[in-house]
Amino acid sequence: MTPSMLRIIQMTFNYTALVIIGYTALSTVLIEFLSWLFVYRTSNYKRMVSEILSCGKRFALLDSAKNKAEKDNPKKKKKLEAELMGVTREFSFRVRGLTSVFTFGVLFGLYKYLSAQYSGVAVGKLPFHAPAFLHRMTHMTLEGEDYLECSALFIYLLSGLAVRTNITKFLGLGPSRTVSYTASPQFLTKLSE
Amino acid sequence: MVSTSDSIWTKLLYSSDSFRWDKEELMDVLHWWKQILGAAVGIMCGVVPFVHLSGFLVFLGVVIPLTMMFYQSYLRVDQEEYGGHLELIVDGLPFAFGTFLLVWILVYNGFHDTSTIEF
Repeated sequence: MTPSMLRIIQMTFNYTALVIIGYTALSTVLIEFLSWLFVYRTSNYKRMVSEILSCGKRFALLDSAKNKAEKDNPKKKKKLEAELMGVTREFSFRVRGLTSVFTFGVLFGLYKYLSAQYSGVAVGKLPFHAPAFLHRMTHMTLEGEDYLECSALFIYLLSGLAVRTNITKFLGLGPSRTVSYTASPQFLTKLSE
Repeated sequence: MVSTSDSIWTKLLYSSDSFRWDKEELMDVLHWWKQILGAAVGIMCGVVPFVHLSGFLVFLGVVIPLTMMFYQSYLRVDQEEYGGHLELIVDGLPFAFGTFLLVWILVYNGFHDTSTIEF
């Protein structure tokens, strides 16, 4: 094999990987757009977010109350807990449920497409030996036992971790960290303590 | 005294003890810091190249101490106010690791002759 053929092969591998990363980026933008269109821009969503934030602020005030009677007031805590549980339930169903449907739909479609398009295609070589339990991921759809070969689907999984997270964070359309935490089971547990 | 309403860029460029960080702002800044570090370490490991376990050790050996130095020495935040060292370091680390792996694989394949693959 001549050096120029070698170079072309290397560039082809990297090109395939970049195409996969590009697909992941586009699919993330599509998911965020659908979520914004059907969820984040609605008045219902804005109402739920402001209710969750309000519950979080009231809990913080209760928690920082200097008067012990005020801090441990069971009536106030129960009322706050009931209110938060109600809005959290609605939030989980309408927001998390719907955005999960979009996410699953788009990512599953892309996964099927990539499986069909790049089945048996090694995208490159791994610079490390993956542990045996990860071979199913790194060597997915590839034949042979050279486990340094990297499948297209492993690049897809890594792009999901890297590219999707960053695009979602950069666009910042979804619920903030504070809202997500206040609407989580951990916060409700903390509230009922 | 400067408040949390100052822009993130002001706080980053003119780091001072008097700045007060909102937890969400701080976690976002640290997320991007770890992402940049992960990508930079991935490029370095791919070019040198660091292979096998050494690559992972370089990642941990660079990202964790530099993150600690960043928020302690440069941003001057009191880590106890924001959940402790564990929360500030671990939050977002898996995603930075994903970025590191992706960049490491791409750069390694781009810079070095790995093509003993048979068609």
